[in-house]
Amino acid sequence: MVYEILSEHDMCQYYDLTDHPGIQLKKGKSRQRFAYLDHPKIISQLLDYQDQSRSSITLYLPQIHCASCIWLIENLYKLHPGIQQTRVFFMKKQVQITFLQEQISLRALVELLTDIGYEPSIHLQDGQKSSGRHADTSFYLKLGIAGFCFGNIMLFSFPEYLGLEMTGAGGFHQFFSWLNLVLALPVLLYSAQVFFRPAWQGIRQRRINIDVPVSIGILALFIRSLIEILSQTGAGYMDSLAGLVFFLLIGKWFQRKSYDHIAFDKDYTGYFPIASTRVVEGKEESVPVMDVVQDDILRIRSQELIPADAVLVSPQAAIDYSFVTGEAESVKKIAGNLLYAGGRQVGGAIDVRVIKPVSQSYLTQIWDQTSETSSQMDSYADQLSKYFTWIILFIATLAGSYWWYTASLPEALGVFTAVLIVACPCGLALTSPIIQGNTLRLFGRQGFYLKKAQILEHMTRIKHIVFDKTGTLTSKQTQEQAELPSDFSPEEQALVSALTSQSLHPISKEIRRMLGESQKQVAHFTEYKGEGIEGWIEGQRVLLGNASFIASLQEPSHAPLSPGTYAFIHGKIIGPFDIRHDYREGIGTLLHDLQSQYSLSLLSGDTDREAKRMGQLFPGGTPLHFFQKPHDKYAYVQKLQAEEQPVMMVGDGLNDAGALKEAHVGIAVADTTEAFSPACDGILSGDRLKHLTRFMRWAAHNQQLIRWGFLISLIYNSVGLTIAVMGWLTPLIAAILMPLSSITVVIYGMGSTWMLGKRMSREMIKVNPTPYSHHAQRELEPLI
Amino acid sequence: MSENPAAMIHPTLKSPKTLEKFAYDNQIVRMFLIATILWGAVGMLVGVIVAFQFVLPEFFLWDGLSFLSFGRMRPLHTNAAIFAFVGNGIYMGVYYSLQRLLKTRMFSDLLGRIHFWGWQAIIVAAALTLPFGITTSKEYAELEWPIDLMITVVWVIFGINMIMTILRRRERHLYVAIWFYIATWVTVAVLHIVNNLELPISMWKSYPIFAGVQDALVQWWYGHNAVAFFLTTPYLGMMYYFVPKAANRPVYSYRLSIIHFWALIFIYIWAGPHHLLYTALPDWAQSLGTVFSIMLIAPSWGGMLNGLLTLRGAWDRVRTDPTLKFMVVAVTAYGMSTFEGPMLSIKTVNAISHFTDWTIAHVHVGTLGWNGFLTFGVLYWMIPKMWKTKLFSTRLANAHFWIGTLGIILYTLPMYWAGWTQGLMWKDFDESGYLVYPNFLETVTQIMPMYWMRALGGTIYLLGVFVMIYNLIKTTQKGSFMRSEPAEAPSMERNYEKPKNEYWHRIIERRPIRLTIYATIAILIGGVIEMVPTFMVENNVPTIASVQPYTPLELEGRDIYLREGCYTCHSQMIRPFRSETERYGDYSKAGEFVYDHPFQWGSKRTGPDLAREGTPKLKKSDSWHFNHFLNPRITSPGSIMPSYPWLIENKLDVSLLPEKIRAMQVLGVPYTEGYDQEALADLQEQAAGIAQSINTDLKSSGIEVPSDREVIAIIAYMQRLGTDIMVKDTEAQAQK
Amino acid sequence: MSAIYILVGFSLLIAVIFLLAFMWSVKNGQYEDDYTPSIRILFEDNTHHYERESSSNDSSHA
Repeated sequence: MVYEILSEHDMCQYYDLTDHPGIQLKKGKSRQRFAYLDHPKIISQLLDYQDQSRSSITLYLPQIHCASCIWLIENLYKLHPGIQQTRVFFMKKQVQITFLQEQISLRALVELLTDIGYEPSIHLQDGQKSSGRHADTSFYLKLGIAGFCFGNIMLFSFPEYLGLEMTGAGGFHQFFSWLNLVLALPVLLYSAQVFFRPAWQGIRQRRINIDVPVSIGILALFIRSLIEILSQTGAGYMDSLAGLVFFLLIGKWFQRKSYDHIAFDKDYTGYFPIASTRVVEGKEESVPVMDVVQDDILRIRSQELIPADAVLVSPQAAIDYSFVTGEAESVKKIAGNLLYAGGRQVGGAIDVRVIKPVSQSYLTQIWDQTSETSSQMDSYADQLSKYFTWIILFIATLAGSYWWYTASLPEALGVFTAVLIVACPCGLALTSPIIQGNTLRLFGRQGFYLKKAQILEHMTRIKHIVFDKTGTLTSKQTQEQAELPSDFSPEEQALVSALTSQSLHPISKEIRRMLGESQKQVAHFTEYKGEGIEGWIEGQRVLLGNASFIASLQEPSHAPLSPGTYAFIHGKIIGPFDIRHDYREGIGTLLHDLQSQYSLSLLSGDTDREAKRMGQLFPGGTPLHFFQKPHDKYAYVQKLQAEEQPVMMVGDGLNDAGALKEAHVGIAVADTTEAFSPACDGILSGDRLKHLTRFMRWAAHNQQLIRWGFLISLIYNSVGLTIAVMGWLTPLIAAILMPLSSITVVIYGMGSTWMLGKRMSREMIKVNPTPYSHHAQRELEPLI
Repeated sequence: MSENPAAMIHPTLKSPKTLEKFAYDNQIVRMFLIATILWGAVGMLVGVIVAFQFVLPEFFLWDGLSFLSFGRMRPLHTNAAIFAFVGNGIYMGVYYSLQRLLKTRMFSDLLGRIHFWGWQAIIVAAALTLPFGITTSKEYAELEWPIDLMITVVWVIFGINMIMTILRRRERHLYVAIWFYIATWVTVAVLHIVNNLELPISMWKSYPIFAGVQDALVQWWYGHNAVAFFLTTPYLGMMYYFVPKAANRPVYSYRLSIIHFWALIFIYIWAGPHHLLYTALPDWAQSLGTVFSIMLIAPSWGGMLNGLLTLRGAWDRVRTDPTLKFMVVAVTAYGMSTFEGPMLSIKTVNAISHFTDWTIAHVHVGTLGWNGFLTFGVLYWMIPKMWKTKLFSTRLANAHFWIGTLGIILYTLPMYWAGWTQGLMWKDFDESGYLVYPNFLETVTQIMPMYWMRALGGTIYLLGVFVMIYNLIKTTQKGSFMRSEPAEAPSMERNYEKPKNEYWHRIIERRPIRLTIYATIAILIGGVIEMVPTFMVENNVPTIASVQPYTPLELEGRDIYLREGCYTCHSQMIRPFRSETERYGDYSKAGEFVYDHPFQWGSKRTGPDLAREGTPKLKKSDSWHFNHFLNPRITSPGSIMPSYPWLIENKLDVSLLPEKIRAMQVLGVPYTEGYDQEALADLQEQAAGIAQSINTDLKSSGIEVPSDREVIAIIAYMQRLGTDIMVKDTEAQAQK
Repeated sequence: MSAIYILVGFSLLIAVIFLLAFMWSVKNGQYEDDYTPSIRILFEDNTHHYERESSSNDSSHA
């Protein structure tokens, strides 16, 4: 199909580009789901730019994965004349499309993309575009300008370093130091902002962060140099100033490099459809969820989310709340029941009447309850710099006053500033950004994406790991498995199989898969939404359904059935069919390994029907909690942490959002990196969950590296301090010492993390030779 | 099924205006391509000839022929190799890749053609002037001022064509290669102008406005950056385009390539002075050159690794595909010479390497390896593409690869060996503190075998080129050339336009910090502009009272010295080493060169240093010089210096003397007012004296030389060299 | 050493030109995407018979 579209436009080169372009066509799904894209309000919300003829939009295409994708999408204009230009941003998996809205509507465009296998994932977020670009732009400018000035200032400082006979060679001294002053201004006024701002904020909040001593150093450098140059008493330290700022910015740069292609921090609307279908006088119309008001009648199709708390209008519905509660089995509702937002209708379409607009609904409440800031602790560097700064100031004053006594005030000031200058913790400030920045990237290549560098530190402090079940230990994607009940004759099996062949319900499918096909004819088939199915086969009434459904067929005397799926063939109850989730491979070993260092617990929103298996899976004595509502999980985590047990919560969907947020470290397990994960500290790709132990170990290793880095820079600082206190600091020494310390730290950071990376891939290769496919093509990406 | 996109393309819908059709101009690429190959062969042929002139100075083909003498051929070789071969190579690469990278045809076919023919005209002009001794004697800038002007014009035309193409592009992003091209253009323009600030006195004669040390500094600031921005940056740009294309895989790290570019640009420009270590240049300027040269390793290697790692996982193809083979070796050669360069700029190493064949080896690793092989690689890839066919013979191409590699090895290894040997021999003292090889000639005869091998290596390399030419011609014959190649692309969207109807001052108001930066830049530029005139005139080189302007005869002699390209083999710069002061006398002082327009320090000592040729320590009789010019083998058996019979036959042309004197006065040489009129008399008087002394000496052999011959003038110059501070010199002797 | 002033001047001039170029390129968003361009240059522009009128069959669809 894709091939045909392409071949018709002579774009078969697509297939030459890579052996496995590996995009597949979504089979003709209902295109209704794109109806909302005709809604002007939504369109205007999504577009970047629009004029009378052209529109431009940025879409997120999770499927982008190879060179061929870029080629195909950038040649989109060949597929439709209405498309003017497409530009792929590979790393962000984004595409910027300019099109003529008269010739192709946004909806048609999205459908075209879907047809060639790139279905955009559109969410309300896309409405509020973040202007991250400008922040970046100015950062790179700062970096570049600092670098430029650094290079030139160094050049003009050379005569000074070499103390060479410039006398006679016509006032080079003055000429060069003035040039240096001029060149240093942009560095101070523009590039150094990056440090001044946070430092100032820190001071205002009475918190001393790493930027404070840095800023002090920078200012001391500039003021002293300024005085020296103006008073013509020396050449100043402008070179050190520029160099310092330049190297520190490089450090920041490492820190900044984030994963454009991972979606962090989705707020609850991220889970919601952008639009819903409203029924007005029997006519359907698409309406943005935000415009849904009380008493609207909404039509919820199968597998659609209920956007707002509503009352069921249709006679009955089966709502799957797994999304909110983790409860896997759908709940039966009848007309008049209250349906909470976030529920998903299984089976046919239903109509509901909204009672609360989206913003105040159940989901929102969960969210608000969670969104209070979780325990935020400073990074090592910040903690260190607290003491560091005071110590330095102390030493500076001490040395200064000593010199005041023994020598003169100017010398005292000289020493005072000298101390502040050399003590400037550039190494300290560089170490963790570089090492952590690289480690983050390495983790990313292994399919574990952390939001902030600090998470690595936090991971090392974890004492207790809490797991969610559904979607975490079990995979959303793998089929459910069923076990045949005892006393189940082949004849009966054939009957049930025939019955299931009429139903599309996943459980029916699964049961049929086990029983095998049967050719028997089914008559009078009826499906009771959320309960079960019934049909007449060879004159026998056969039913299949959940416990309550089957039990209801019994005379009351009969004992209630345990949860599960049962068949009912003329009076005989067969079952339960033990339907259970398939667990991710390697979970058992993982849990076993973890339990040696961490205490574990399980929080499942699901019923306890799998309690037994969980018992086997988890090491003995692990607390297993079922029927956990989101706020229960939240409270549980809170309790543990109150007991000084830093918790790592490993969960998925929104129902864990609270716990994830509250936990010291919240890891969301996602089977596709583009899946929307609740606000969390990290996203762990499902197939990598089994490596959690390794990741924890590596995080610890990373902290080791950082400590060594700190040691190195502290050594430099103490050397510098002695020199300064002795009053030996000359521009040359400063110019050698400061860059040297920075460079050492940079080299150390790069080298050590490079080795860590090597080690990671080695261990990974051992356990699974095929690299994490999603990032295979970036495996060899260099660290810069 | 209206959703089917295939159905959406309604046949009646005409393709949108924004999808533009155009065609790449392959014709201009072919023109430069042919020029590259042609001039490449010529330049290398000349190279081979000069290589043989080392070992067969008396070979009948060139012995005694002025226009084929080494001093004139060597500039021809360097200029042909750099500006004809590499130059056309650059244009070939730029015109091919720029169009495709920017999805547009070159801005103007006409400008392209003018550029092409203009450049070829320049090359021809060079080929017609250099052999006849029309030269400024500044290395890689030997061409006289009219040709310099031509170069400027053509370069500007090239610039316009390139910039306009960039402005008219259909692809918003400027690929890193294009940045390298832009950098090349800007920098070379400035370098060319600054280094050719000269004062014309006739159509084919000019004097640089700077003298001595300053001239040297400017020259090597240019010399180094010519290498940096003519032989390196454009080829890096080509590497970043053609290597990924040939390997059909993206460059290893695009981010790295961007960093590589900016780092290189901000550092390269400063490294010039490293060519003048241990010279009369101020120490701090020398050290500055050294440090920045060493800093250059980082960005250079960044580029090399990026180039090589692009082929990661494709090494199997490298084994089979000659194109990639050439490119790999080219990039490796780049890495080697960018590592060696900084090493050579370390004083201790430079003390040995400078003035020896080590330098020659170094530059040839660069040109034969980096420029040569990358060009060949590009040719082997580009020609089949443009002629829509396969390469005629891959086996021949592979053969060329191995021949060429062998050639490079046979060329460079002996040269390194020769360099080390000679460098050490010069410095060799026996235990009693005397030079082991007081006679310079010994150190030359010692390395003759290496010169033989070098000549052989060069020949082999040239042989490979002919193999390539045959292969490529065959290829083009079976293919069909497409003069202009159709292409299509959407017109460029301008998404980053500034918001409309906003006044400029408001923009600035919104950005106070950026304003400060602009201000700074403005200040810098302003400073530069006002500085230049201020310092043009003022000259604060410490002057030495005893240093006097040249006499008219010496001045004419000096111009002959330039004309014959003596600087290609003789330095005039005694470095402050005992080995050199022992051999040549007191080391050179900045003050000695204040009247040297241009400086004649030289960069290579095939023959001995001449800075103090006239001092008693080294002085030879006029007749000795006469015989030596007649045939060096008479006075110094085994010498490989060419003989200069024409100096004896030609009458000295004094028609320009008054202009020369006046020009010197303009440049601040203190000839007395109106001396331009008296000069001729002085000249004839001094000439007569010299002629007389020669004739008395050589009466026995019946030689009678008239006083109006060129040889008289150059002898006068020889006898003058270094005599200015003889006083000081003799004192120095006394102190010992 | 007046030459040094001049060389410093011109070198600075060049450097400043490049600095401006750098600032332009960053502001222009040249480096927003530092991976895709390296792939983009590999695509050949082949445009033969693009005009060909296209007929579609839906059989393969769904």
